[in-house]
Amino acid sequence: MDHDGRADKSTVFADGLLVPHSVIPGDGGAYVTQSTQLLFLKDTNGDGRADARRVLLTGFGNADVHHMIHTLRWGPDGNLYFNQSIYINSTIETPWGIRQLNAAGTWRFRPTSMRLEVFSRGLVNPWGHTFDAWGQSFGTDGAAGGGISYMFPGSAFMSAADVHRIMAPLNPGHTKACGVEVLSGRHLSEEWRDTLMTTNFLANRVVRYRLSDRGSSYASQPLADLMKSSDRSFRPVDVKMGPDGAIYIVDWYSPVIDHGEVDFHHPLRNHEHGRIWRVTQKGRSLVTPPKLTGASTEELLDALKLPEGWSRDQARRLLKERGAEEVMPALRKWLAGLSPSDPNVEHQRLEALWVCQSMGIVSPRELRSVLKSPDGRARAAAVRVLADWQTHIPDAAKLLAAAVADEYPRVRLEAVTASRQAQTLEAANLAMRVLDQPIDDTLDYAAWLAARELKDFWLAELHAGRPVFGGNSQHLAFALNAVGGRDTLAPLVELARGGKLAGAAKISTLETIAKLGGPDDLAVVVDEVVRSADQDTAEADRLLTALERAAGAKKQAPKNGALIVEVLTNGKTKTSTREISARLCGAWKLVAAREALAKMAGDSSRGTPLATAAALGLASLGDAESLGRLAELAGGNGPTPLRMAAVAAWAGTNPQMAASRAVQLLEKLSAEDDPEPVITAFLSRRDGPQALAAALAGKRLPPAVSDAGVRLVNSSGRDLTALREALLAARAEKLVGTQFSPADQKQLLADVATRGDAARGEMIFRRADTSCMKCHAIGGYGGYVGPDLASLGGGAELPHLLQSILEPSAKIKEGFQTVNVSLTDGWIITGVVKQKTNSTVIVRDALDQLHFIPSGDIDELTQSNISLMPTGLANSLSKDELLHLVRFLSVLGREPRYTVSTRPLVRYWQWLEPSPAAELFARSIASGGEQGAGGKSLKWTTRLSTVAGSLPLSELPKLGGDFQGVSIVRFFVELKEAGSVPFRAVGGEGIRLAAPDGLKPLSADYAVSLPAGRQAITLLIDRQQAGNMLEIELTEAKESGPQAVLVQP
Amino acid sequence: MDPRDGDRIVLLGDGLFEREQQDGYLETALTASWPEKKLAFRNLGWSGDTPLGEARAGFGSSENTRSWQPPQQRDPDYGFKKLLQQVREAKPTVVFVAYGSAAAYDEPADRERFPNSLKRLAKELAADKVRLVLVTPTPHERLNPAQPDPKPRNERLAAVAEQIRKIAAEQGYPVLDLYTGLSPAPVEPLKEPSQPRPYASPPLTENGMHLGSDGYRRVAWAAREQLALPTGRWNLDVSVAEMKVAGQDGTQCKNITKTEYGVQFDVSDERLPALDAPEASHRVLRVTNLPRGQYALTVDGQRVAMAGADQWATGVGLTKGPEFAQTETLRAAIIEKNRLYFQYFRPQNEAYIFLFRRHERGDHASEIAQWAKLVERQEEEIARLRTPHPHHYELIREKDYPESWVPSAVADTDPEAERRSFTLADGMEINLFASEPMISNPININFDERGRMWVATSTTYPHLEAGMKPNDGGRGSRRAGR
Repeated sequence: MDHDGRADKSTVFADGLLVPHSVIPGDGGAYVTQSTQLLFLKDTNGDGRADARRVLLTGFGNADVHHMIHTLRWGPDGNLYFNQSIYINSTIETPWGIRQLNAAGTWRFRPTSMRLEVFSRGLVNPWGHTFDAWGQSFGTDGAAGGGISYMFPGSAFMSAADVHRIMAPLNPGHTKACGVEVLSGRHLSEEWRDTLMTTNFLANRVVRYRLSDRGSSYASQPLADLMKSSDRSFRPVDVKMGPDGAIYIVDWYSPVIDHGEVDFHHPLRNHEHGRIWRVTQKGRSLVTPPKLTGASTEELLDALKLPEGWSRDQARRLLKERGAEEVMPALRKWLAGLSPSDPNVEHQRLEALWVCQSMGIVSPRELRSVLKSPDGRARAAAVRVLADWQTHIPDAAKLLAAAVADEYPRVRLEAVTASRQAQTLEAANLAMRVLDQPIDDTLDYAAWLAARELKDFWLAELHAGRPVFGGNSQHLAFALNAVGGRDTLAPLVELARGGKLAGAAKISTLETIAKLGGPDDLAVVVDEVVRSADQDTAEADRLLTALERAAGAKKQAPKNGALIVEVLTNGKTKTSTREISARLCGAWKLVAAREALAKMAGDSSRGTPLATAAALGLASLGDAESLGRLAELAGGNGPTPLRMAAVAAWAGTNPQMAASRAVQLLEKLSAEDDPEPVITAFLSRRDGPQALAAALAGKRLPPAVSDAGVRLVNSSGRDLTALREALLAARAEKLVGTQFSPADQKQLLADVATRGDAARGEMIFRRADTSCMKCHAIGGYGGYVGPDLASLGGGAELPHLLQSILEPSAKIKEGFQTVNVSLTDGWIITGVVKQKTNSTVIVRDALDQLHFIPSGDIDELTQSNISLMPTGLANSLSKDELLHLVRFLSVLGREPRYTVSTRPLVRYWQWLEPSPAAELFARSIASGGEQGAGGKSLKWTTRLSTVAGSLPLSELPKLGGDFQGVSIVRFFVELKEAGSVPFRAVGGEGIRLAAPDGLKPLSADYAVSLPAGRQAITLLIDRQQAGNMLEIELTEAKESGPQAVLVQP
Repeated sequence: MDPRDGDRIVLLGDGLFEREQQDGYLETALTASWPEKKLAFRNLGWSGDTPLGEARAGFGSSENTRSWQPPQQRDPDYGFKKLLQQVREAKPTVVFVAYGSAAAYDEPADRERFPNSLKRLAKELAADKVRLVLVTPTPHERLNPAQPDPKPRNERLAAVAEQIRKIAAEQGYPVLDLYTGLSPAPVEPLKEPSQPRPYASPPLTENGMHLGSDGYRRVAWAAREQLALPTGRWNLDVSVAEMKVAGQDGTQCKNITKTEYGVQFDVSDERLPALDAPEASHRVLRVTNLPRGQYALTVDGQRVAMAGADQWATGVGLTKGPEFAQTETLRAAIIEKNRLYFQYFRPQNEAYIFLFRRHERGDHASEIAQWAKLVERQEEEIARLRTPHPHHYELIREKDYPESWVPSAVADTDPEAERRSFTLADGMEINLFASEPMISNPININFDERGRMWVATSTTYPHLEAGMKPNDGGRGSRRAGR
């Protein structure tokens, strides 16, 4: 070898394989994932070619070639890990039993014992998996947005099959990550070391994250890219550290990267090219790797001290292969000789423990030493080892008891997991003790999973009348809520009646009762609502929402439901509480509430939402008298919005009767009034569109009403041609839209690169009339109805982009197929299935609303070939506007300005709608007064930053009165503890910040002191003085105080 | 067992049969036993499956939209229906039913589930007038101390085998009892991990549970014994002194002539030699009165054996040669037929072609039908191969044949152009480590302790074209018509 950084020689070790997604050397040969099999190949005669072949495991799915098993990795525990992606169902025969994994997940396999287990579930395309120096696992997802995900035994993420709860990834909105590696070693300088590198094959980038502890999990901070290519064939799919400390990047090198989206035999697919790149840091010498072949056991042990992950991983594996007889005596000697003053001694002891674990040698002495480490990371790793060995260690329970009370949250997490795996009653008691200390989402998940998987032990005890969890009510409530099945109902009701519960335990207990209980059980929930209705907490609303869901799902009404009428009519009750109460009165058929509801439905003084809820309540009561009152309201002289609400509620119950009244209202609708609720009400009934179309015959609608109707019809995901025709026929002025002939399209595609203006395209994308942002997010910000477009330009071809706009139903992206769900009572819900369990289907509709539909209510669930994306969007665009829009989409994720930056820029804004209350608010903040002035009358509208991260000020409305020419916006931050939040503003001239002591001019570098929790930062913008764009970036706090993070309210 | 001409034989079961596809010893033994009969085989083995078709339920039908969840939740019988549908589609006249591996893990309370479900399956199949052969599961063995003790598992498997035998006896089905046929297989557990493996005999399994090649040979042998297949018995006694056949069994010899260096003659066999066990193919050639010296036997010009004249006079056992190669070729053709059928039966990208993403790539369905045609074409090849050909025997000296090697060509392009497209973080530099033609379509890398980079490559990705032979990892696959 000449060490010039290029491969000198290559040997074909094995051929004749069928799509081997990964290969990893070990045990004197190499392991290969191939289609339905895991193989072990070996060269026994030393000619460099495999001549022996064993099929270790078979039965992995092959229904989707790009999902077949992949990503082989040796864990520090000596197990072989590998993954499968979403459309793979695997049933594997092993000597330990049949193992099954449906959909994506990570397998853990020990080749010597043939023991195969599921380590983690989910992630759509988990094409990357790596271990950090402390043995923690991090995964990536090549399909869904999530950046890095923290995996541990039992973790589950999006797409996991047969699970009831999933965890969030660490970087929502960060799409398309493939191979992942922890950077380490002396070749790289400090700022590169211990960061996570992953490959975005779609956007031709290699990206990086820095992890830091966040409770028992991690925060993942995106860092600047390692590299980016303007060549769209650059397809980085894997990244690994080499023995020389350099970074190696695997480049599939093909213009086509999609699987099913491009034809399998497309001539553009490249079957010849492929590159491996090596990245080094200038001016720093490479690492001389230790000589490991032929090394003595002592030399291998010493290699465990090296800072390069590669050296340690190889040494650990070689020690395992060498075997216990030779290694154990040397290892004990090596441990005894470690210097206690070495800053890395804790890590070295852990490495030795892993060697024992890899060899399958239970070593209580070595384990105890690491369990006592002052470093929490080492203790956490040791608890993972303890989990593996617990049946062999007599006082394992005692050790776990200490771990579950550890001060370091991740040790507690591992202890809960270890208890779950122990499968004993004692372990169940232990696991719940994690609740005695502060809990975060990850710990809550682990405890929830433990309670469920150990339920055969503790629930049986409980049913046998014996006390569990040492009589601790909070522990019991948590465990019962976690299990949540019918046999937990009675003990939960008993706990709730006992009155010992408080806080989150009380709320979740009552919510579970609402979900499971019958009329008697629900009474305890209603009692609590009555108790808390006039308090300034969200408790009553949460419980009422749970009751409302129960009313919808199981048609359950509490025996004391009538008490809600008092909550509804009590003057002290919050408006939001009254709204739910109004709907519930209807759902529970509380005829006694009729008069109160009718009065509220006709009263605009407490806001349209309450009147709307009251109208819905009346409609749900459904008796002739109530419907009569509704008809009166719809036809009366009340304010139009209230009449609209009444007719919408009526249409939702009886579209045939409501249709002619609805058309009368729509005919006379003024520009301020929104026709959507009424039209939507008709669309939500199976027989609604037909009734509305019939009533429209011979009528004339204002153009705006007709257009809104057509827009709703077009995005309904259903074929409603008759109603569309009726709306167009009724339009007062004939519609002339732009038409795009095939010749126009050809010309447009030819012009995109030369004449298309991406900046103008982005403004068109952001316009209200195109409503693109309602459904599409870019880098996690925006709607979730359609796919996130952050990396669109890296994958989609221009003709495909244009077709997607002109004919949205021609090619619908995977996972965004429209379904029509017909309910047994005549409603129809159209949207995209978000999740499907045995009992519920969750559908996201075109308005980004989630519907939880009980399976029992579903008459028919059919797949529609019509996209939720409206057709005819382009009819309102000029030819040039469409050209600019296509240009913008084609550069998303490709040009720096249209690539979502990793900097912490404010992306989520709200502007204040002009109103008298808004002026009152402005006056109040100008004098340093209470920011709550104007309160509920203020209307804040969400506005997102551009892809580059700035807010175009020209899009903001201006206030009137004393504040002529002023716009007000706000954004949100969250702080763990009170402190100073520094940020940098670009374009801050003429902008003042609302501080407790009045308005302060915004300088380029600014810091504001805020209390802990979620806080709004409000800005007052003088549009005369201000520029066109405002960009705000959070900066690093000077003192190492708690960092604030940007959030959405 | 005495099959009828034109029989269609389905091998239905769990991983025992699924893996048999790639070994083919049982199917080869059955095919070669009756060269005059046309038998078609369809392997419907499915890893982890039960008589209720639980593993093969898969995704269910195309109506199971957007869901990766198996369909049992909606229809507990889905797998069973799919199993019957698969069997019926194969139009069998005979079905070998090999289930029971999974039942060995059933909890004590569930132990009647397996016999009940097997009876249910047998009843359904019997209604189709299909002849059944019940097959029992094979015993486990322990290859190293890290593996679980096979004893309790084998007790359970023995009980399952007994349940199968009982059903077979009640209903009058023939039974292929592999549990007994392959016992005693268990190897004594090892005490020390570093100790070499003191196997009394080579292990029959690859991993303690699944049979390897030796195991499947034993399966074929067990079938030969228990189902009374014809043996591959073959004896030939040639007298050079009299230039005539002194005795023959299983073959016909003629045209005996002297040559400058020895003797030659032509033979026509009744059937191909069996591969399953030495006992099954006892081929002894005896040639008396040869002049002194070492003689190589060539069959059709291929060296097969070497022995002295006195050894030839007492008889030399033949263990290789074109006849054996023909059986191996037949076996390879059967394995290839199984591979083609697998692509038809369990096609890749099924999600796109037939199931919930068929709106995207449903147009590829016609390709799947092509696999079925290829299976039929391959069966013509199998029919040709199962018939023995006449062979020319000659006792002379040997010859060598060189092997041919054809390198494949790959396109040449310039990675430097790609390098110029990169924008790197400050302070970093990049160089090309490897590129085509050294590697094509790399997916994944890992390093070994010597610092060598191992690369997984696939030119077959994303889809195996109909009739394409995959060659991933090597220099590229042969793509049909490209």
